[in-house]
Amino acid sequence: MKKLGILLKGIIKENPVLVLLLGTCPALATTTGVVSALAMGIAATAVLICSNIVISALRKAIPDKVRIPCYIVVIAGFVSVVQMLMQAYFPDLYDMLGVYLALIVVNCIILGRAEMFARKNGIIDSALDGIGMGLGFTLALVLMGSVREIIGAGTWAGIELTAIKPYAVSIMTSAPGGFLVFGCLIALANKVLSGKKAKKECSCEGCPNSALCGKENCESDAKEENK
Amino acid sequence: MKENIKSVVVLTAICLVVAVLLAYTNSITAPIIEANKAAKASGSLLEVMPEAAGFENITDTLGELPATVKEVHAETSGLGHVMILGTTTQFSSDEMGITVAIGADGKISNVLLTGYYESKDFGADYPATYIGQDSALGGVDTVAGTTFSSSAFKNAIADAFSVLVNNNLVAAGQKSEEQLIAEAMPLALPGAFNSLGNPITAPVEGVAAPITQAFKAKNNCGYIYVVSTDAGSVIVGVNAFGVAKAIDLEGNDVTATATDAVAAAVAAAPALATENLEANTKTVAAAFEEGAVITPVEGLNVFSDIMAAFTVTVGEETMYAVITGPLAYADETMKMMVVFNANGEVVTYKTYTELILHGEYYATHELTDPAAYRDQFLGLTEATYSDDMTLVAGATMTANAVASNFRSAFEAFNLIKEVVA
Amino acid sequence: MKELIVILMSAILVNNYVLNKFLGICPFLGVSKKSDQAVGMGASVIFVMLVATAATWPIYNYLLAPNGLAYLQTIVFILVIAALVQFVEIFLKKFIPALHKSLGVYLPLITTNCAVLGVTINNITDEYTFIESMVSSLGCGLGFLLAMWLFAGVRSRLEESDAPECFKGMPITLVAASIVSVAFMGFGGIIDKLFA
Repeated sequence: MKKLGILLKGIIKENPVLVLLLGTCPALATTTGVVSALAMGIAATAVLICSNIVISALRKAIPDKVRIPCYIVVIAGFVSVVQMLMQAYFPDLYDMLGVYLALIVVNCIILGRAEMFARKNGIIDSALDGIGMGLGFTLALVLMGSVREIIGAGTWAGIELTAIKPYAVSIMTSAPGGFLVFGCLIALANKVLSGKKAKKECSCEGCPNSALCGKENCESDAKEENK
Repeated sequence: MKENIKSVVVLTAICLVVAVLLAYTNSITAPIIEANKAAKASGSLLEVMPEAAGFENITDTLGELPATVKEVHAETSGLGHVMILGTTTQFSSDEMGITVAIGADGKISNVLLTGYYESKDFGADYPATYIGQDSALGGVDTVAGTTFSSSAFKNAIADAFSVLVNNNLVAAGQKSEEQLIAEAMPLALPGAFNSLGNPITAPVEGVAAPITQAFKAKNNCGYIYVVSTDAGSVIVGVNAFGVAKAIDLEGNDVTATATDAVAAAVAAAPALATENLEANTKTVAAAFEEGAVITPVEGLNVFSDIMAAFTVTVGEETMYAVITGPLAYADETMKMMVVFNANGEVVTYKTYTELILHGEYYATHELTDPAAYRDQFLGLTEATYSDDMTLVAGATMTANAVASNFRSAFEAFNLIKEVVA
Repeated sequence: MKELIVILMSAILVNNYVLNKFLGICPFLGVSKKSDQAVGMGASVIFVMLVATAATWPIYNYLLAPNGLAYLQTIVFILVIAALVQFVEIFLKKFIPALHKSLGVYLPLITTNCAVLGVTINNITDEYTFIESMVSSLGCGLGFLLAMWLFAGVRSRLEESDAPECFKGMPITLVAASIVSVAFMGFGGIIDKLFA
């Protein structure tokens, strides 16, 4: 039961994108369409699961002092593997994701889960956490991709929706649409989850950026919320 | 200290393991990635010739190529050639990309339109009509209403064939008589064709043997007749002055030998300059003070867009007026008059068609002063005039017509001087 | 020279890393609450981008690419950037303490800023020369600074606005970012016309 909880919490209650607000860059950049969003989600999930397992397995061996460099090397290694596999077997997707595929390395979700979960938990739990968080990330991306592609291009995963096509608002597939849809989805998540949300912990804890960006932001948000 | 050493060792070990893992993955994926890249490069080539074994780029071995032919790839197993063409229409600056596969039998096996988003203007089906055509391109036509795009398309394909035929890579196709006639017609009476080389003529009904077809130029510069003779069809152009020029199906000038055909055509052709004499004389008279003596020039041996020519005597001075009808935007005839003095200098240039004088038209194209535009030609001679002076950005067709008018007028002036002398 | 100006202007205005390419969103949303913080962060990013490009470009073009090790690009770049930031911090602390005082706090959090890794990778994929790479990095950094600084102004107004409960905090900030991004779309045609 506890294991199931680990798996499921990432999908809704602690959805990394919509609730924890992690990995915003890929969430905005690769969701112009469903296909690229799904590809990004799967690539990041694969890296997340693998890095969680490896870091959990090595958690006793890695000295505390150099843990962040070690995590970065492990993560960058898996990202490179995913990059190469994708370039070889899915070249179209590789071209579509471009630089954002390499930027999985600096995705706060992955480093964050390594820091917050994998280094404190066993291999199986860490793997489940990776799957859950990865699924949550992928679902959020696909949801955003769907909204933007349907409204912006009148298609879904390339399938033409004849009823909507003539009314497509193409700005939704460009940068402003990304910010707008993301903002609205977070608001929706706030609305739906209000009250049910676990007392907000500072989600950026694991992210090195937290020193200034995340922490202060989170703390003030959390303060507001707990008022 | 011990902890520091451990840190360094662990970090180094992780780096090494990761590096080995990456090297291994790379050894597996690198050949596939290379293959993908190669496949992508020849992707559009394969798209038109899917059964190809491979391609070799032979562009650089073919010498001087027409501007429209960008790349020529030979299929390595001898199936034929794939060529990448690029052309612009006179109508928009978008480049139209064409990938065409021409089989070893000299026929188009496939053609693909790329990078041209106005394909809707001649219809997506239009390129497909080229499949199966040989270098004669006998079965295709330009599309009425989108002559710019479809002519550009057809000309690019013709250029592609010319490269292959000239390099003896495929045999030339056999042209039908109909095509040969169509190709000879512009040689017989160039003035009846627009700047794209399309005939702007109306068929004349009720022709009698030996004449098989007859066309009247819409700008009244003459008639074109197809005359059947013992040696095959001869195309005879009869200009506004009743002078004829005969061309055979190979494009040779046979005016001197095909006398029967010429005689038949001249007999059938109403001399347009005479027919419209009254109207044309009025046009000229309006440009001069009263008392000018206006005499039509006869028997002028020009086949351009000239409608009539006159000598005008005012007092002691003799001048020469040439009325032309160049074809402009939408193939409209733009009536113009150029008057030369005895030294061949332009002394008057008038236009009689709304199109070029329309204030709004000029305003749109940043030519706010039509009078100044016309005045720039005054005082010029054949030596000082250049076509560049006619250019008006955004009004290419009109500018082409003005240029055509001046070329015809200068040519006519030289001949008039001979005739009069 | 013309090309360099085009690269610079397009990086600052048209392909703005934050508002168009969504790189460096975390600090953009996190640090842009006060304009002095935004400028400090932006200046540090420019500095690190330039240093990172100056280091990674030669590494890739003289070390990785000729030896067929291009696949190590991601891992080498992130390590180089991380090490550089550490080194720069130590260097500043020791030799230019004044500068360290103003920029120091921002430096560690730039290590995993995707804009920095992004610009070094983009310079390689766009096949820029060394000079072009440096200019493009400068442009991206200036664009980042510009976006941060402008948005700090927008946010100070947002703080006082009365947004619907569920929109409070991040959602309304993102909606505002969307509008700022629309404004930047207006620069779209500027590059073609720059020398036309």
